[in-house]
Amino acid sequence: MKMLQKIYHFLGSITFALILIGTTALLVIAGTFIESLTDSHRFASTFTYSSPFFSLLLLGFFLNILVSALRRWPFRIKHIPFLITHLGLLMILTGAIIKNYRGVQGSLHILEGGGNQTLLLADTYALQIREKDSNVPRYVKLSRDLTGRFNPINTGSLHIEPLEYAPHSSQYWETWIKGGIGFIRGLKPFPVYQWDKTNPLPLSAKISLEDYGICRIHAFQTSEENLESLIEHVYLQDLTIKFTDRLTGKTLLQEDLKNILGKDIALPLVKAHVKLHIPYSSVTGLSEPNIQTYFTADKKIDEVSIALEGSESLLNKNISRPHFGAFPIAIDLVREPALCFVQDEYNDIHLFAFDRCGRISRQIYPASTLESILVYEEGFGGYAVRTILPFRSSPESRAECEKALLDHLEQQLREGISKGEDLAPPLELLQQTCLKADADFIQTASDFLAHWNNTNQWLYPENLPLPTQLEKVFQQMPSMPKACHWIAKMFTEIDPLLKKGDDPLLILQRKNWPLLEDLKGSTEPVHVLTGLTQQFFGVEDVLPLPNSIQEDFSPSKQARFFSAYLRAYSIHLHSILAPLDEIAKTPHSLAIETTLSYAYRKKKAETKMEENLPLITLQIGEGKDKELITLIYDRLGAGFQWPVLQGKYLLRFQPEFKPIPYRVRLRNARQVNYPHSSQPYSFESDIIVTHINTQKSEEKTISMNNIHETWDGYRFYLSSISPSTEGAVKTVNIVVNHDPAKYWSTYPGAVLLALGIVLLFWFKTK
Amino acid sequence: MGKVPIFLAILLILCGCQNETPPSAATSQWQEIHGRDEGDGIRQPIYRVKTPKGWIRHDPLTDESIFDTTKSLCEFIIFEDPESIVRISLHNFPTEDLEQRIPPQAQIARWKQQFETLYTPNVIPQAFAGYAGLLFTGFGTIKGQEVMVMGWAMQLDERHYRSLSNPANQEEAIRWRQMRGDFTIKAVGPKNLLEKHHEDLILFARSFELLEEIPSHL
Repeated sequence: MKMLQKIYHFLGSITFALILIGTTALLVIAGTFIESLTDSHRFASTFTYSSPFFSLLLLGFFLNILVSALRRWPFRIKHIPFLITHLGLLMILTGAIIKNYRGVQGSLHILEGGGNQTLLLADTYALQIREKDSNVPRYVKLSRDLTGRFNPINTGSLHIEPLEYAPHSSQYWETWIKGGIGFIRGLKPFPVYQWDKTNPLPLSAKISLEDYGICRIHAFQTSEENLESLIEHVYLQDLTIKFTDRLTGKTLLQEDLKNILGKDIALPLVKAHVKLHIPYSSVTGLSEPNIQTYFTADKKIDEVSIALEGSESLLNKNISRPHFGAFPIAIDLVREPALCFVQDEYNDIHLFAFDRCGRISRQIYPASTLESILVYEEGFGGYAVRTILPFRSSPESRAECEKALLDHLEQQLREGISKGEDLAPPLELLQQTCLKADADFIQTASDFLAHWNNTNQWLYPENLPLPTQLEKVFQQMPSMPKACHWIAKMFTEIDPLLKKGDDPLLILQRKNWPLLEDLKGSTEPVHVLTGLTQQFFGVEDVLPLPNSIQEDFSPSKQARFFSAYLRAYSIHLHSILAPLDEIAKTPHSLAIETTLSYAYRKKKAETKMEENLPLITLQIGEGKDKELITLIYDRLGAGFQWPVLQGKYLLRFQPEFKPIPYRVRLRNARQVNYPHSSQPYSFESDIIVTHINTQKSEEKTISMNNIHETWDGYRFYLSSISPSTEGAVKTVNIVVNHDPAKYWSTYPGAVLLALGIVLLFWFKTK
Repeated sequence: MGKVPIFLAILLILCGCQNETPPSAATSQWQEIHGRDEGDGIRQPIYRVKTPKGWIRHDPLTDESIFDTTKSLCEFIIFEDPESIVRISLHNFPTEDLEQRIPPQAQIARWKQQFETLYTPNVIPQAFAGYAGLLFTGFGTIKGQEVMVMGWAMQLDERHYRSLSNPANQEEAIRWRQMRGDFTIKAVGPKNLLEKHHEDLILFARSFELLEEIPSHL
């Protein structure tokens, strides 16, 4: 009994009060230091304000104040101020304790124009479970036992057993390669190899594609720095290069490209040197992959470039003399189509597709983010990524592309004629000739331009026979302006020098060309030659008749004169063909898919606890069905929900969501700047707060120093707006706070405390 | 004894301190704007906008179909004298999917083309009520007359568009199709009049919003 009395008096004593105050002060100081050192409020509060010991301190204060008041029994009038003060303190403490356990503090994330009535309670753990055919998800709080382990949950017909927990983890997407194995939906899994450049390239799989034939599949793991080299190796595997004479159509050489790369190859009348460039980086992607071929004849080098990617891919571009036409040797690539999946050390997947004509396309699937995802049955059917492979589009090969360009030109000519547009004089002449020869004008024009283009000559060579159908037309061609004859004569003299690569201006200077001054303003050889051609027409009236004007000319010679006539009007295939991307294409693309999943890595917990992403492994059971699933914490509760039990449920590990009795609609959010400045002065949001039961609404503007409080104590604070730029729809974070004891315990307690203090002074004075 | 009244007085003064702006007099009022019909002349209220007092409202006839998007949903007139009026027309452009939407830049380009001569056009980004787009201001000549144009071309945020793309029934489908639509607000009139009512026009446009909250799962 004496002992009890001693304890009783101690509980109400100044000594106990001082111990409590001192301990609380030390705890608060410690909390401040810990938070400052760790930069983590959560870490600090775990050991101080949120710890059970701090709750014990609060209880201690409560007992101390209560007992110190009760010790005054029996009470007298003079005790009134003292009792009022203590009652006030007890009410404040009660309010604090109730707020600690029953209060709410969470945040609402709202997109402008939308609304929300569900608070996200940060640093809490729950599972969101959504059943198929149900629009409304349910939230199940995850509670822990005294050892810190999560307790099993029974909800509806589900039994959820938490098996494993990690305080921190990281995640990355797994797409085409999962756990070192390649996956394409509808196909058997295929092996992924570590790339070793000293060994032959292994093949992961071969698949048969309808309408397309066999496609090879390669899959590798390698470091980012080896990517470029690997892609080149895979590209060169079984890739054949073919050289064809454009005029005769004869194949000059067909060989594995890797056998001739970087070497001088002998072709009839010319040597070829081929280089392959496939520059690739994981940041910028493919950077204009191409094949460059250098043809050497009589010490003159002609360069032909073939793009391997893009709208102009596979066209043989004559880099050295583009305005002379195509290089007389066409280059084609032939291979088996192939897919190559490469996973680098960051788990990013690089997918390369090589079509049967040698084109390359590439897509990247980063482990951290994906641009687009397929969602099946709102997630119940899982998620996937798809790629569209540009296989088998039409036109496909180089020859088909060149034919498509000519077809487009013919179509443009037909449209022009049907609209009654005027033809240039050389084309008018050809039209009249075709009428006489009973030949199709458009077809003839197109055939001649294409044939001439393949000669790689400024004018059509007079000794080169024409195809039969063209010969028939040119036999009927009437005599052309005398300027054409003189141009032909001039170029017969200067062609050999032009072929050697001599500068046209210098050639004309050596020949003492009288009108050289007018040509000196041109910087490009093509402009000099065009100018020279046009000069002949400019002075045609004063030109004498050439001696040959009375001769009967061969069709080839007529063709040469005609080409001079066309040059005067800058009509040459190179200058009148449309770009290939303007030509309509018919894609026959191939789409492949793979399921999407996350892979996780457990990590050591961070001191800054706010940055931790916990991981949980659950066994979900319904009746006899059981399934294991690992989920990473979704801090905002807005990410993917994962299907379980054959897609019957969707699950997400996230903070608790707590509905509040108010729906908040965000009308507008804005940053208000100082006048004539981009510095923010204030952040404001126009909201409509509607009580869900009564449907009574209030429109308010909340800002950084202007909160909204409802009659029942819900307080809405504007926490953040992002992005702050004008022109972007904003997302706002509103912190909501509710203290259920505020109006009946805390505030009245404060009033009583103040009254008690005043009365204490008054009574003392008296 | 003297301390108590001083203490009480200080307490009362502190309790009396409040920072509350008295409510401003009502100079504008909310008005509902109907969307388009589906060719049957039946229109539903879809939007609301805060309109200054004194602006004259002009709606299409009740039996007139405004399915055609070249017809306005509603017009407002600021009338000073018969020679000096500002005409404000509201349009929306309902679509079935994201790809059908007309970019705000295309609307602006179309307005620019209406000018025979255009001096100092200005285009700035805007965002409010879940929409993002552009505000165009231009002064020049249209059909020989000098006019100023202020035009907003706004598009619903893609996330909201998707939220409005899964209606539960036919009624919702019709209403949500209207809600998904882009909108334009175009004010045309004499320069001095538009400049005089510039603030009102800005507040008017920025108050334009959907009547109904855009659905979300939260």
